[in-house]
Amino acid sequence: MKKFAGLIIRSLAIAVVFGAVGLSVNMLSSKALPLVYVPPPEMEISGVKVPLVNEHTARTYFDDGETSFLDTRKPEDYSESHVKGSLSLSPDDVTEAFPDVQPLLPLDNRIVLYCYGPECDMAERVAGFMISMGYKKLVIMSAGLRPWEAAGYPVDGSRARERHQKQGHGAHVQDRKPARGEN
Amino acid sequence: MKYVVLGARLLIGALFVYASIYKVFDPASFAGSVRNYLIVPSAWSNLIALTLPWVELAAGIFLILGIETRPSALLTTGMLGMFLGAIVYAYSIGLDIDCGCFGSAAGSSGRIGLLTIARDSSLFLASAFVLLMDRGDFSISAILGSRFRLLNA
Repeated sequence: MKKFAGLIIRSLAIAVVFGAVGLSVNMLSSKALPLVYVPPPEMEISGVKVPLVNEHTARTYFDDGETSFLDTRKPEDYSESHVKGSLSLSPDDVTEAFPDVQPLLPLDNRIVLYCYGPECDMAERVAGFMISMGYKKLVIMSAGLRPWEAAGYPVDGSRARERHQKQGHGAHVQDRKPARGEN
Repeated sequence: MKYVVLGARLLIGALFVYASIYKVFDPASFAGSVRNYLIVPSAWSNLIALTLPWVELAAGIFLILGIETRPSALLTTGMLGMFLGAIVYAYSIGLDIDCGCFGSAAGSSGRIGLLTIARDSSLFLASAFVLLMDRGDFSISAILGSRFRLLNA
């Protein structure tokens, strides 16, 4: 028992000492990171400022009738689950797929783009394309779909429908006011 | 048996050194990988990215050299268990993200999947094997000790 406690203490000592080394190196670095990460409020894409919002702010846009959601993940993941009423536009085939969704995306609509998570760059890449097509009111839901689902906000797709059937009622699948341009 | 332990020790040590290098030099990218897992609050991601890679590097070097072998093996086993848990969690909730194991989030170190789970499980077992079976053979102190004994004889 004493031997085991000694082992843990020596392990912790290594972790503390070298963790402190890491923090000291960061303090001396010219590109020092802040110890507490604060997400940036916006990013600039092709000269356009695109706000980065969390799922709660995105939810406030959801049923205002002037917002379209754009899922930039792979189409197979979109089929499984997506923000209810969102359209699929993945960066890999954005040029080919855009004409299909363009009629549903009026230029003056607010477009909320999302992908898998905070560091996923797919929403950013599609935003760049949308800007080149003349869209200006773009917003990126930076944490991606997962926190939206976790918050119980409206989703659709095969997984949501499966859950709906199992529960026998409409869990998480709520109606929304369609955005302009959507049927 | 001691050669098997030595092999596992060197393997885990070398992998930890290799995996920690990019994280030590590019903590911002690693912080991005940490945030992608959606496990810890994103506010903590920088602190983790600034400290964990140095612990990985130290544990890896210590394992290779045989300095504080068992405490280092406890650290590598604990970290591998933690990484494995994070990958299994991310996989189970369907996150399609880069594992951030040996490269940046934007790099190509491999999407999480059954292969990364199998790889991390094997490494976890190898590290636990070193932790349980290492008897101090081929460590720096053992090698230096035998040299001194020869000189004093």
